[in-house]
Amino acid sequence: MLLAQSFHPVMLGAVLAGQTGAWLAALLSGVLASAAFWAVTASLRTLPGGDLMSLARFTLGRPGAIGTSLLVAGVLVYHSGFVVRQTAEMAVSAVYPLTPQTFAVVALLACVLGGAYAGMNALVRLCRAFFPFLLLAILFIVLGVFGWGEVRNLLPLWGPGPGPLLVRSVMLLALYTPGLFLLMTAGQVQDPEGLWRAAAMAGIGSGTVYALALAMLIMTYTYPLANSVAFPLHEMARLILGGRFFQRVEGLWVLIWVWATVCHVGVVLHVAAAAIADAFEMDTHRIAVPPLTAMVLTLAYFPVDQAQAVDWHTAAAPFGLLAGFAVPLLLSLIAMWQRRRKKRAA
Amino acid sequence: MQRKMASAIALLWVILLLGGCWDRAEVEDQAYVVMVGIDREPPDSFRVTALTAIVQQLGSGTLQAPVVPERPRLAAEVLTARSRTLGEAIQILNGGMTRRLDLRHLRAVMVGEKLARDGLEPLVMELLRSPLARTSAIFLQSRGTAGAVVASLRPVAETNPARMAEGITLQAKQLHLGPPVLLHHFLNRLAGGGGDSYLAAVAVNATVADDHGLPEPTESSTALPGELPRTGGNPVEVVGTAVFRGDRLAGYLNVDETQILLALRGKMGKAAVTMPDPLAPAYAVTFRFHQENFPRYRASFQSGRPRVAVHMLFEGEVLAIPSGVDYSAPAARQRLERAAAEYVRQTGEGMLAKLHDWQADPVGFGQLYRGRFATWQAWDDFNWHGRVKDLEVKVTAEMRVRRYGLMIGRPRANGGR
Repeated sequence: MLLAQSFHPVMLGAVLAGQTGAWLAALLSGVLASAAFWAVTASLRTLPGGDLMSLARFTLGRPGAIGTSLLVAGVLVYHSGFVVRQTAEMAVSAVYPLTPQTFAVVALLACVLGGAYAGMNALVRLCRAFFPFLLLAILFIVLGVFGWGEVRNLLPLWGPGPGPLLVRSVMLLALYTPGLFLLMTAGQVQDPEGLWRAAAMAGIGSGTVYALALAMLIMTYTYPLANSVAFPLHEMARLILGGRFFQRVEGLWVLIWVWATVCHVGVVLHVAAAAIADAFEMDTHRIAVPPLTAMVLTLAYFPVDQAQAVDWHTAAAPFGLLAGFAVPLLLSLIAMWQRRRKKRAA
Repeated sequence: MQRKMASAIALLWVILLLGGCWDRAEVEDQAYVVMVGIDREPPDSFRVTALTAIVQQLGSGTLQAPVVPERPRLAAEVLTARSRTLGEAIQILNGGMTRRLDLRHLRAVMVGEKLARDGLEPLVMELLRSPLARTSAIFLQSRGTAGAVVASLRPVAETNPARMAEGITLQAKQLHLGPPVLLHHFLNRLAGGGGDSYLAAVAVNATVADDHGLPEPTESSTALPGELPRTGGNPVEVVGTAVFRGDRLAGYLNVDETQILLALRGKMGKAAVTMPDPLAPAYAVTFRFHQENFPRYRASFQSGRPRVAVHMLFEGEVLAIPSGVDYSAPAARQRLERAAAEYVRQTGEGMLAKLHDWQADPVGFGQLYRGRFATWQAWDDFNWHGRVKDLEVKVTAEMRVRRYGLMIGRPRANGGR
């Protein structure tokens, strides 16, 4: 659920970079993400604390923990702002052109705030209840538009070539950063031990669904036009017809999309709030949720238009990737070095 | 905690429902455009003709059972505006309306010949951008002006304009007099780069429109749209194909050529074909061709020139043998099969010669070559459009006659006297 919502806003960026082979890059990135989840969490578990914040505190002290939490929260809040903006743009562009956008966004964020405030277990229950509908909706779109495209549009198979495609699949790992941070700050989850296995499966599952959706987008709209479709899954849903009485199924898709956003941003904001609460040694994460929500709202409307929002998010993705992988790696190395030094001293 | 979560969920529902307060669209406040005809208006404007449904008259009973026994008319109004974009045209037309014109039920888009020769890309992109119009609408090419065609529509046994537009698609799908191309298909071909687009052609038949009496004795299968030998009924006919090179109209194909074009793409399905009787040349034979198998393509390069061999397999059902020849006899059947295969080959070569002159590839032979390139850049540099003039296509066909309608042999009404 967490990962599925990440990929929709960046489908276009994936097509631009991966061209006709974008779906292959997405598939590969899912496998790489699973491996990365396993590697990062496994290395963290061998170190003091077992999660990112404890490790940061152990290695760099409280200032280090505060810095790490701010970095994590910054990346997640920025990502949430983009997801909220895209959802609002789609709702207003496609469904409610006359409704003031603020009305829709404030309501959406109120729900997100409620979810993040309620806590991880409540959010997990909500995600679990809603996940089958999102998956079914995506698969329904993928199968429903099959007759509208041509399989040969996926050729040439390698798009920009095998080398650039591999680089692109590594860059696509940025999509999984929220999942990675969830793993690294997973102190409050009921079953933190089994979480990385679930996350690894989610990486492969999300990668597969993402690859299917991208393949269908390229088949349906062809490259390079596919790179200009503002809301790919919504646009594909608009094509699905089944006789005179089964039309305009995108209305259902929009409803599911809004709910998926609530679940996704709710979890992401909760992780950000939990990281800050941990670093600042607060009693509860709840006090951090309202200010973070306000920041999401501000960041969502920082770009002047939708195109700029997409551009900024695409440009910022590598930084998320660095924060997600470079920071834990660096902290792990410091911790290992410190441990070795202590052993020598002993 | 659960109560708070439930409150949050309830709030979202309320918000979603309240959104409808601003964006509600009452049926009574709308006027639905079901078909638009778009023509070039020199120097750079459009003339947009909108066929708007009169919703009150649909299913009210007044049209189905008129007080005065006259032919039921289409429950629609024709509105025309001159504008720079389609969006502006709707805005202009709204000036004279008491209901808001709405494109959400747009079923057909028709473009005039001059506009198509100038290029359709800007128009198609505007339609793709519109959140109201759908690319699942049928896309038609008018021979002459689209406005004249829309204004001349008088469908037989039909009063519902939306059903009429759907009927055009259905006819194309079932009878293959013209290809059932939707706006999305056109767009896909336009953007794909491995072939060219084509549309069903539509025109006003002057013989019908002006009630000139008996039509000229032209062959129906070789007629272009607007030239079918018929009188009475709807002056507008949807037959033949408009072929494009890129986004510009290149020329028209007749019904026979349209069917072979569809067969080459593997989309012929079942179509009625009339060809000369091989054993009695003064007569004709009518078949129903069944294309159950996808054509077999072999694409290669010969001296750097793209070369494609296509083999098509049909099953045939004989529907009419006016000459009375008994084609169920093995030798005659084989003769008929060879003649049918030869007919397909000759018609195909004639059509391909036209396409060669136009340097257009509506079959999509270019798609066969995409897989030969490792990267998009290499494929893009190959420039298929520039190579179409060098393309050589060899067509072969095979016919297997399976059925002879509801009679076998040579039935005689007078018992052979």
